[in-house]
Amino acid sequence: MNRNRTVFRATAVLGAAAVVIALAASLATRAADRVAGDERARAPGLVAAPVEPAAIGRVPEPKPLTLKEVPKPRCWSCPANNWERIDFELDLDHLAPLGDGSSNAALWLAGFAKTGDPPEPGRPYHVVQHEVGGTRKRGLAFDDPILAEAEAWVTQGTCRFYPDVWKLEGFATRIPNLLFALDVAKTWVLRGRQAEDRVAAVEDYRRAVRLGRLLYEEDATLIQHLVAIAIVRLGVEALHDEARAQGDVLTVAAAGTVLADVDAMRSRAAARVSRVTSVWEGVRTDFFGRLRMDATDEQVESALELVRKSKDPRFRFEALTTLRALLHYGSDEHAELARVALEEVAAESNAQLAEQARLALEQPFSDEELALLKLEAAD
Amino acid sequence: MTTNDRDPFDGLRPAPPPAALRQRVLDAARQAALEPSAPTLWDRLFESRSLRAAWGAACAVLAAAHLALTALPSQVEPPAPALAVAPELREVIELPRQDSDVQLGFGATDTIPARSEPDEAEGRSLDEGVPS
Repeated sequence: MNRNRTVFRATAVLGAAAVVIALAASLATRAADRVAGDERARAPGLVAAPVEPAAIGRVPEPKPLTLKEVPKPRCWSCPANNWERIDFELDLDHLAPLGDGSSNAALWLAGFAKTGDPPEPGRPYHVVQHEVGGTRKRGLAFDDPILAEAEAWVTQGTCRFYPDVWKLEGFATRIPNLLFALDVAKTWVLRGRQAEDRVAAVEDYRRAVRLGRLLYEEDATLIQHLVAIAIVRLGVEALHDEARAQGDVLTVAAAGTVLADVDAMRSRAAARVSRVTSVWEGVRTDFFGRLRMDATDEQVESALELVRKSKDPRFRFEALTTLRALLHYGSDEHAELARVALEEVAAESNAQLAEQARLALEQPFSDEELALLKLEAAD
Repeated sequence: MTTNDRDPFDGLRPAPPPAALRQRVLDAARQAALEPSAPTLWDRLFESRSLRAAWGAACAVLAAAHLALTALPSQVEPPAPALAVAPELREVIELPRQDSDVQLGFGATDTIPARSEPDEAEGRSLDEGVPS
């Protein structure tokens, strides 16, 4: 009887001690995680260090503009132009030529993007609100040192993220901090509009156009393209207004075609990308709880047409993800159509597209990715 | 029968224990059983009031610390959800959904005039027509 009592008491004492130890250990772990998380987020060492271009590039004067160079507006809605490249009609060198710096501006811009897994914020920058005509407009401070860095980087002639900075990875493709690029461009335009020195103002407007053109150069992701043309528009609109104030009719006309093109380009982009987003609308859960892609034959044909006929790689990259999803979640017939189209692209001469198509043929597509497509379609 | 009939070991038989011994031994054993035994280490730990109070206090403090850690806001902003996009960027990247291939019907017959082949009309405006 004594032995039983001793065992009981020993068990009770050890159990009580275990409760305290468990509570203390879990508290220590949680506290350490919290501190480490806070420090990780604040740690300057994890943020990309500022980089400098090899040299400031030489930016030539805009090409002379005569009536001959002012383009006739394109018939964007003509069926014959359905699959033509979506591009500016005007040679933008007439408004803001690119510099000849040899460094890749993407290396600098990438520093402001989120990095790591899970993503950590990139280089911080401060946004202020500028009072303009009674409204508040977002931008950097006019004397922000980052703006000076940006001025050096937009004298470069190249901006290439893929594959120089990141890999194209379908749905998981990393993108730069495009809001930052937009903020920088808006700041230049705001600074120009408020400047007394009109020559300096025009320089600021051209910087904005050059930043947009640098982002525009890379025809890989639709989101970057949309921000690029928005930035071009910001700068060109300011140049247009300046030319109008100066009575420079040719520049007004030339800038006018660019502004019209931007709207048309967005509209054409919307029409093209709708070919793939309409397929996403077919994502649903079947009777057994499995995700399926029940797109109609017409929707799938429309997406395949985009892959085969578009002359702009960015739309084809977008469509490859949808074909990969069809390959795994579509009906047997749609999966076969997707496979054939992907094999065609995989055999093309565009190395980046061909590689992406090969990866699309090899890589699985997860339920999570499909659910994300469904969410995007509903958005 | 002779006088030798007497048991030769008669004088050597051990003396019986005292009659009271049995009772004394039993009483002593009973007494010992009734007396508390020396407490073991586990008994001392189990019965220690101060130890119990210390255990209770430690549990309370640790539980409170857990709750405090949960309630204490992190100094770092939680990451924005993947789909959360700044409005300034959203207005640039959001595109309206479009039906890419809408064809309007022509009157009651709903017939659509045959279109020229795309390569014939390549690069022409709607009003430029096709070469004869």
